[in-house]
Amino acid sequence: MYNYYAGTIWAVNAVLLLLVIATSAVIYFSAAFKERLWQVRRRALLEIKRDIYEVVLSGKATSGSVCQPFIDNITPQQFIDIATNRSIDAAFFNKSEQQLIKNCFNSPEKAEGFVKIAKTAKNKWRRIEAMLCLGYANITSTIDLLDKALSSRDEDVVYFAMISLAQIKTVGSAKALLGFLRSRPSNSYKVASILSGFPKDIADEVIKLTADKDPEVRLSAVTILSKFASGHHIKKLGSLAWDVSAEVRAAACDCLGNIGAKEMLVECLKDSSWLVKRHAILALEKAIGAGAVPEVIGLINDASWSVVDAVKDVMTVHIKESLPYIEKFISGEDYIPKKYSIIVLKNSLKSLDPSTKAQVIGILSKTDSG
Amino acid sequence: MFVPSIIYAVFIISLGYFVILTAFYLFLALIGSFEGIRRESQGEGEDYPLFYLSTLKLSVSIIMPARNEEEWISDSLKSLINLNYPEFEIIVVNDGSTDKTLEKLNDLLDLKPIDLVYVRHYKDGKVNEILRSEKYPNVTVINKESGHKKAGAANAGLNIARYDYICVMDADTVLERDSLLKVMAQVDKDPDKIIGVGSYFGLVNGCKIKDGMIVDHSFSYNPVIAYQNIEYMRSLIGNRLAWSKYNAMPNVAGGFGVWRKDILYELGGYSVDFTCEDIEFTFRAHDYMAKHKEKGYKILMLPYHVGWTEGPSNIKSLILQRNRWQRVVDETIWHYKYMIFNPKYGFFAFLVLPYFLLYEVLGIFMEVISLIFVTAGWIMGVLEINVFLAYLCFMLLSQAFSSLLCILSFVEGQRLFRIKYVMYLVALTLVEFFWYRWFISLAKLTGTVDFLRRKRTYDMYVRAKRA
Repeated sequence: MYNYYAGTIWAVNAVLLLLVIATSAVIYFSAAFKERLWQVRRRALLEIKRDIYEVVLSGKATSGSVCQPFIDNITPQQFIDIATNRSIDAAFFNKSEQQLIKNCFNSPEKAEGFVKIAKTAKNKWRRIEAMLCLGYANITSTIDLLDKALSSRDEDVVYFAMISLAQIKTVGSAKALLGFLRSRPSNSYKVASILSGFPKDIADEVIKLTADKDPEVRLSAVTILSKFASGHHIKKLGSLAWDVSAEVRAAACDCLGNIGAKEMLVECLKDSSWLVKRHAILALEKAIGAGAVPEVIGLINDASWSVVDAVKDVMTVHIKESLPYIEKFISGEDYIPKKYSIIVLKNSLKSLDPSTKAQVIGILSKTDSG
Repeated sequence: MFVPSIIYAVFIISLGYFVILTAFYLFLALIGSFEGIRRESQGEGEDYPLFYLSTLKLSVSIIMPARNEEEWISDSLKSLINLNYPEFEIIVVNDGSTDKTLEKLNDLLDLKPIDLVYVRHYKDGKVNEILRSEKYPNVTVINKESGHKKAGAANAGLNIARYDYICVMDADTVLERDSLLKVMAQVDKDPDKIIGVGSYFGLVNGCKIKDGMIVDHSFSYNPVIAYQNIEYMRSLIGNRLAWSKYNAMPNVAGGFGVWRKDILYELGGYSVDFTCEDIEFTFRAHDYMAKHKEKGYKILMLPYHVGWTEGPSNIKSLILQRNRWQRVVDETIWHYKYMIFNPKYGFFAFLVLPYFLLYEVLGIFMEVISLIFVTAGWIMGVLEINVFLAYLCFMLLSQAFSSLLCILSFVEGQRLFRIKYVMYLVALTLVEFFWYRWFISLAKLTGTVDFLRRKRTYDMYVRAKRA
């Protein structure tokens, strides 16, 4: 007979049983603690909301003395709850309520406290919380601290430093973010996404990045510029339309479309890349509307379906101006222009005025699919 | 002498198997807990309005294949229409429904046929017509004939999808309003590297729904449903969060999953040759990225509860569903067997695949054989009742402990279930061994047999009528 280690198995079972009991107890206390914590958080937020309401009703909202109780009693977590409405299930704070608290927290005394936590707290998430408070309170004097946090090894710290800088929408915070973009192009998308929400003043800082060696940085710079670029950036953007990277050229076309640079866009239509041509077609339409039709119509025979598709879109939007060309294509022998002309006619039927509609139906009736 | 030797060998091997399994679950639960807490903290600090208002949007095409979903289609579609996301389109693919799915869609959407250029890039089956909603211009319906499973329906949606990200979901899933926002805000951190994302979704059974929104999270006390809730925690929070930390996510679930469109394009869309499409596609994506030396890519699992799906509410339906799940695991592991222990695939090859092979594919044989042998050993007098009972107790307690660890991970990260329900789940884990486990084992066993018989159909269980 073999020894089946019954004693050992029972001993292991006893340990497992203890673990099962202990884990069950931990689950119970953890769930109860969470539920309690949530109730406390909810109640505290409701009390703050009531206090804000009272301050607003008393008409002292702009007075400095009203801030002290808020500064003393509101925790960083509650401040973020208020600033972001992330605990909307508990209490909702409207814009003026948020602004009141943000103004209160934008004080040297409070900033000092947050800076201390952001620098010294051992728990990473506490440091992050303090950084977020600096951002939401719009404390511009701490941009340097947030800038330094961007070079942290911890990805979460870096990310939330970006989010904090995103709240302080100044040229200074933009400079910090652009510096980060240059040093770590792999984060370019998020930085570009953040900076696209900044005011126009940062355009001159962004334009400096268009000369960067890294195409990814140049692309991000042009992408951000597509929101801010104005007439006086046209020369720089024009040079980017001849960049070595097709993606940069395509993004430059988008910018040129926003500022209405027709001549440059017409040149872009001759580009060898389908991506650039496609963007140039759509940008030209954005810049000059129906006037784009005669410029882009020749590309209906392009080898790339993506380019042809863009031409089709322009023709659909400006059907009236496209009709003479469409009639020509339909009576011609070329398969692609003919096919796309019919699609354009069909797609635009619904949105046409009666006289153009009759004209379109007339043309369609001459085709096989009529 | 021969029989006791065999019984002894089986006894020792199975004991070792359960010890390793328990240790492994402990490891996964610990890693999953830390990862869950980290992700929850990230979500807490996220500035969603900043992401929402950005001019650089990550636009999403949501594809919802639907076959005979008259019970759910209205609510799931309403939940999509109400999504809080800056730019998205909805493509519902009516996959040859024989019930009133299309009528319900029409009632809700006011559909009109459109003349759209349909380029058949992905294998999809015959498309009859494409319709667009008059009420909601971002909703398109493809009416197609059935025959290529859910994969074919999803591929049909892919053929007309306009945006750079594709979210494929089930038609019996009701999404939370902020689901897409929460998930895509994580993608926005690094869209070049993140190619796929999954997130937690639970079972809707028991909850009250109004116009596509969960108005009362009263989870079902039906044990069949409650056990599935434990399994979802085990799978989505306990296991996948831990795998995700090592970038070895084995499955972006078909109930709700987001993929970058260029990856779907490169891989030719979903495969119609497998029983289900989700796990196979995730494996294929890992395979593709490794073969093309795309270092640093990420397939994420997130703990945010994005939606609620209907689970089978009776044993028969449950067995049918789990049979299908087992088949697709077997099919996928068999198809991608060359990845196991291949250094090219990193953690995926050395942690996930051996786990799948040992516990998801072969585990069922281990369980059944060990139990048969140990019981036979006791009946034949080879094993004392003391040993027999100790062994059964060990099986019971090791499984209960693994389940409790997952519940703990879940409770640590979420505030979803009320304490009463959590304790009900805790109590259920202690008796799982006596019945539920064996139904799942039966489903796995029949699933494996069906796999060996080359059954590849997508069997749907009959939906319960909703009140």
